[in-house]
Amino acid sequence: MIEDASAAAFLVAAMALAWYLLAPTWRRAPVEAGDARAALEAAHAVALRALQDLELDWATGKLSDADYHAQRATLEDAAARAARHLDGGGA
Amino acid sequence: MAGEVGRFAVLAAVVTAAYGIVVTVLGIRRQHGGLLEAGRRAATAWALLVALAAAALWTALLQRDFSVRFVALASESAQPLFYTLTAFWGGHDGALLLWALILAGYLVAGIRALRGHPALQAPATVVLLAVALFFSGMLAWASDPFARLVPPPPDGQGLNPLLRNPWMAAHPPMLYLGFVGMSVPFAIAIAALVTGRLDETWVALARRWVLVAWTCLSLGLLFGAKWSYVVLGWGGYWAWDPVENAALMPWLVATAFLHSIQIQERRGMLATWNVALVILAFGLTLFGTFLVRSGIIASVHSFALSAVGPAFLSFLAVVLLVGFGLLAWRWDQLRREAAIEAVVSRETAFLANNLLFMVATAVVFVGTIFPALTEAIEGVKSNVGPPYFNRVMTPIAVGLLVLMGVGPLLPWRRASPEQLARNFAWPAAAALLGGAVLAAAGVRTAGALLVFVLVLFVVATIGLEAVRGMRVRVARGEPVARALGQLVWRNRRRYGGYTVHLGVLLMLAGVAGSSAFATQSQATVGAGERFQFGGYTLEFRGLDATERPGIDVVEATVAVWRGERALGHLRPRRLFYRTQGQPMHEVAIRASPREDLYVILADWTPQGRATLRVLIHPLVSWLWAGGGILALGALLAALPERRRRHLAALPLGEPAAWPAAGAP
Repeated sequence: MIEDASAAAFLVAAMALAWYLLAPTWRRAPVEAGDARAALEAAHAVALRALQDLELDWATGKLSDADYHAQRATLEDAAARAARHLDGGGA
Repeated sequence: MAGEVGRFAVLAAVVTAAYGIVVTVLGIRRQHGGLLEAGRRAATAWALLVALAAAALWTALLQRDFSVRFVALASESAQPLFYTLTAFWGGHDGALLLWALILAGYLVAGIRALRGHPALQAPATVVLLAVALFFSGMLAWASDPFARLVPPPPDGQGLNPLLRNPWMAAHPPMLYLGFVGMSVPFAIAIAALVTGRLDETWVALARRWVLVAWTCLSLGLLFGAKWSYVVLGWGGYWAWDPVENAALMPWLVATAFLHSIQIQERRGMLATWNVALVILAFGLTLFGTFLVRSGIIASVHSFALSAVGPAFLSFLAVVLLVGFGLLAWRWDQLRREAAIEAVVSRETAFLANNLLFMVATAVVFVGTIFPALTEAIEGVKSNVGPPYFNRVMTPIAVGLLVLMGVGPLLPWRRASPEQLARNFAWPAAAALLGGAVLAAAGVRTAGALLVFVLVLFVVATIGLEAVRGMRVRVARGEPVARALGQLVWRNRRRYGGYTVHLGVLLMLAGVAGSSAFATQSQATVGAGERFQFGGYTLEFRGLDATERPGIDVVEATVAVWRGERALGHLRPRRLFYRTQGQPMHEVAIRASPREDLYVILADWTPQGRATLRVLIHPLVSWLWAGGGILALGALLAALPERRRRHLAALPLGEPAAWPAAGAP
């Protein structure tokens, strides 16, 4: 009697699991987009963080004015490029 | 009943993982959102099924269901509740289920963290489910924690006495959190390789997971060292044992990765190298498990041997072949134009750091598998032993220590001689002065003195960094305390890293102090007799025989003075586990920041005389404190940063806001 009840419980659990797993496959949902925007956001975040680091390095005397200005221009360009793409709709 | 539920859950987990892989691959190929959702559901279901299996095993342990073989092997009726619960990972089958349980958490969290990155999420789900399939398959067929014993024994064999310690209760879960945590960055890296999305995204996503896994691995290693120190009764905490080395290797590679991704983020270099490091770190976690579980190399830590070695080795081969095969396929895409502009730059320091970490990994790898190699070639197992590791690893550690001090003070791209002089003059002077003071105070062991001087140098560089950064903020009108707080909080990746370095420095000072200046003595004394050692006076007060459930205890009481000051009593014990017939030490330790007084009850006579072994370990407490600081630093570095949307949000270098370069 107990074994029958156990078998029935396992069967019900297996069926519930199968329903949970199979249900989405009947829906024809579109694949989400968003990777291009995420990549731009990552590039933007990296450039901003590098700029922040650069500021601190320069302010604490680790690099010369010439190197600072050259690196800052490059990083600002990268950040601005990513921001332009983001503001334009995320690629 | 718990056994049946567990068995059902494990088998259902195998089917679910396989199903999840199939539907996700189909979903990717057909760009079918429903199939991809089914794959994500499979991951969630797999996690729930493994949690159910784990709950079933804990239930069987608590019910003392000795018809379950694992329960009979790892527990007994007299076992306290706490060690009945931790017996879960006291044997191979349960340890593998713990691995799967931790993977369940990482699987759900990892897939959830990739929500905004659907192109990476789907292949990463396939990779994580493949790892899940392997582990649930092992649980189902090679290492079944719910296998039956017929007829069931009246009582179990009990947990190995060596494992009945709080540090050992915490060590495996923490170590596995580190090992298994590497599967998420591995999955992200493979997804990036498969999809060709090898921009900054995967690095940013993988970094935090590696940091979490690295922190857990660090703490796991430290817990294991603490266990060795307080339980094994030899006074040491690290013996270059194969099992210790197995956990150290992925830690070394992950540490290299955490440094080298900074070059990729800042200079766009080392993209290929970083992918390779993530694959290698995950591969080494599997290799470590293979070493521990296969029994091909003897270890004092191998409590849970089984015949799963070949399966692990095969899975490792697949992981490395797929990982490095994909890396070769994307080789051209990963190549970058950027190059190092000057020898003296932060890039060079990071490159040297990576080189040393990889040499260290190779040294540990060769030393660890040496017995297996010699057995394969000569038919006899030969160990290289601690002298090999100490001789080769010490110069590497010194090199890394130098780089730890030099790297953060170097600018990216290039440094001028004037900057070098300005940045290094004070730290170098402070270190030399500190070295002279230490030498005058009697620290004459060359190796230890060198380590202390370098530690002082690195501490001074970190201090200089903090002071300069703080002064910049104070010049803008912030109070000193707020300036320091804001400096650290707004630059938490950088200052989190420095805090980790401070933790490592404390640990290295602890290792140097305890290795170079440890002393020991032994005395056989009767009740009321005193002896002196290392500035301490110890009086043996007598022996007591007591009992704990399943254990006979012999306890010595020792009163301790330092000079005229009474420090209280220490009670070293010997425990005799009746079921296992195994004696164990319970060491008595009086810990202080300066040194540990470590007393072992080595032997005694029926007449009540005791042989006491006494060790003095200077600075051991620094090792444990350093671990705590390391974890805090890693936590700080892992905290999400506030996302800025615009350049204008940055505190750029306007003259009103920032003083000129190099200004005090």
